[in-house]
Formats: sequence, structure tokens, C-alpha cells
Amino acid sequence: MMGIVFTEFFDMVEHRHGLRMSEQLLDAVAPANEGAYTAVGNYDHQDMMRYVAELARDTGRSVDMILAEFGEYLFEVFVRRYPGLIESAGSAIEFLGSVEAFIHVEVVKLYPDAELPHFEYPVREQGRLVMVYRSSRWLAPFALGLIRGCIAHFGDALEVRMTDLSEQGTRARFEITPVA
Amino acid sequence: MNESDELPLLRRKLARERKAREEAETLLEAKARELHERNRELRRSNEELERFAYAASHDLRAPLRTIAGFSDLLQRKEAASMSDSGREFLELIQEAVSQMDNLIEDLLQFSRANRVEVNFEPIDLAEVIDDASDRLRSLIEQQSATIEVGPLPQVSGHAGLLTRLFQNLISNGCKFARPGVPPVVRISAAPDGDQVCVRVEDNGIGIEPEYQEQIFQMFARLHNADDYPGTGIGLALCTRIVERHSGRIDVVSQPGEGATFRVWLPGPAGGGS
Repeated sequence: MMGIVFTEFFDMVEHRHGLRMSEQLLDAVAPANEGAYTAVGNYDHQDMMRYVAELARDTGRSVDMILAEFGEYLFEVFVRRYPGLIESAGSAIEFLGSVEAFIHVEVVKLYPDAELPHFEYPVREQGRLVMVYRSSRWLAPFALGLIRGCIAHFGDALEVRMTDLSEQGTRARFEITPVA
Repeated sequence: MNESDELPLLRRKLARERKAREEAETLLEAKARELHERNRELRRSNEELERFAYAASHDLRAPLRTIAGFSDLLQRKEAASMSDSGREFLELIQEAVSQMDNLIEDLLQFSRANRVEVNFEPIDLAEVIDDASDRLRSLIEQQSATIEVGPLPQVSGHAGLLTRLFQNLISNGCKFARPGVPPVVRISAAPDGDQVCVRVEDNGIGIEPEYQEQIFQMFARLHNADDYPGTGIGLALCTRIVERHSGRIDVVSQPGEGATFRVWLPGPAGGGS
């Protein structure tokens, strides 16, 4: 998993829960690199799942909720770090519709080792988009958070509904529609 | 959390960040080495490809001259005793030989544009345009074209390559004429920062917006060879020559309203790589 996901995860934890919580997570997971993450590195995604599980336990929330919150947080980070990529689209639907064909292509240029999920688009209509997420990792709630972050960034009156197609978070359907 | 609680945590964080920075530096050094190696391989492979293109084009010329020579001989000595279809076949052979000769010439020119060393010297653009127009004299006469040249400044570059560049652009302006409209090609230039922007404007058929980038690619042809002959190398060669001068080229055009090719070249004090 891309190093930037780890570095930003710990930034979020420290910002929202304090430095002690970051240290607690690192002590609990005890990663091989002692938590010395760099944005340009690549790390075992299982470690991230362990951190999320620990944070969920320590804060009394669900893993899915933590992943979704982190997704939203990370989208804001992407807006700050890669404004050109985000501003290439004029709306949330336009941006989300270009994730597979454009955004992921650009991400791989920046991070050649990145293992990215795949999206299919069974429905592309004016103001409505359906994305089917497929990944070997259980990170559909994280994708949900990124989509929410995207909608919030563009300020569009949209809502997203996730349906887990695999019950394990490896396949999910996201339906993005105007707010009812 | 009070300060004494926080201090050990901050120390740990600092130690982690130091380790991460060292790891990032190691990763970046490895990436830089990898990039350098790939760059070297790419350069080597490009050089091999250029050598191959040059050798292949050069070696193709000899047998082609033999074919051209014998088909000329055949036409001069045997055409009278040939049937009509025999003479037609012979003409088709000669036409194909001429097309192939043009293609080989363009490939050799392209290869030369890559190989020649560009020592940036002050060049009188007016002389370059004169020279290019002289070389196109028969095409200009054949097309009843008019070449109008405004005041031109000095630029910096390679005279031979620049002559070839403007020869191609003027030749395009003459060739891609609207039916029944004699071509007029206007050449003008103006300083643009430390560069000179040269405009080669024609009154020809113009170019659809969607093809205005594609035309600069190798072997890009928008028209049937019978309507507008060419090899599809001319503008790729122009691009290469301009790149060798650290400049750029583009086109502004509307279909049916002519085209303006704009070329930015180093000014007289400039130079490039």
C-alpha cells in the first residue's frame, strides 16, 4: 500500500486523537519498520488494517466508520497535494467518472508500485453515476469515504449509497445521485 | 497531557521521522539511479534506431536507383514496341520509384536532423527563406504560387536545418492549395521575449482543429496521396528541427481558411541544446 496512505493516516490520528493515540497504535501493531513511514515507500496493507482495527477498538467505533472517515480526510489531502489532478474536473460526477481511465493512470505515474482498485461504470447519466468497486483488499468503506470527500470538495448536492456486493468489502456498488 | 508526558512521545516521533527521512532518501537515490540507467538505455536504443534508419534508407537508395535507371532505359528504348498496358505499367513503376525516392530522401533528412551537430550561429532568416524558395522554384512555378516575405530578423541556429524547415513549410503552403485558388504564402516574424516567432501563413485548404496536433507526427497524412502528394514526414521533420533549436512549432487554422504555422526560434543572442 502506498506510503502516503500511512503517513496521512498517522497525521489524521494525531490531529484528531493526539500523539499518544498514534504511539498506542504503533505499540499495538509493532510494525517491522517501527512506524518510520515515508510517503514514497510501499508497505504491507495488512498493517494499515491492524491500525484501523486498533483505532476502532480504542475509540469504540466500527472499522468501516474509521475507514470512511479516513477516506474523506485523505481526499482533502489529495486536493491540497495534487490540485491539478482534482481541478481537471468541473464536478464530483465528472471527477469520479474519470477515476479509472484518467486519475488512476496519473497516480501510477507518480507511484509506479501503487496497487489500485478497479472501477466499472454500469450507469453514467446526467447527474447520476454508478461505480462498481473491485479490489483484493477489504477497503470498500475507504472508497466510500473518498467519494464523500470528493462530493464535499466540489460542493455538489449529491449523496452516495454503498451496497456491499461481496460482504467482505472487496466488491461494492456506489450509487451517486442528487440529494432527494 | 502535560509537558513531561509529551516529551518522550515527541522524542519517539522525531526518531521515527528521522528514520523515515533516511529511508526516503535511500529510496529516492535508488530511483534516481534507476532513472539514470533507463535514460542511458533509451539514449542507446535511440542512437541504434537512428543508425539503423540511416543505414536502411541509404542502402535502399542503391537498388532503387538501379530500378529507376533500367525503367528509364526501358522507356527510352523499348516503349515504342510495348503495348499500351505495358507502357502504363512502366509509368506506374516509375511513379512508385519516385514516391519511394521521396520517402527515402525524407527519412534521410529526418535522420540527418537528429545526427547533425547544431552549433548556434547567427543566421540571417531572409537568406534562409531565399534559399528555401530557390529550392522550391519549380513547385512555385508549377502551382503559380506567390511567396511574400516581410522584414525578417536574425535568429540563432543551424542554417542547413533551418533552410529545410522553411522549405517544408513553404512547400506545404504551395501544395495544400484550394482548387482554383493560386497559393499565396506569407512569411513574417516578430520578437517574442528572447525568441523570434516566425509565421508562415497560407491561403490553402486549412486543417480541421482535431488534426492540428496529429499532423506533426511521423507518417501522419490527412489526404489521399493522389490529391495531395507527400510522405507524411515533412512536419515531423519540422518538429524535430525546431526541437533541436530548443524552439516550438504549432499551427492555427480553420478548414477552408488557410493555415498559419508559427515557429519559435532562438533570437540572435540565444542558443539551445
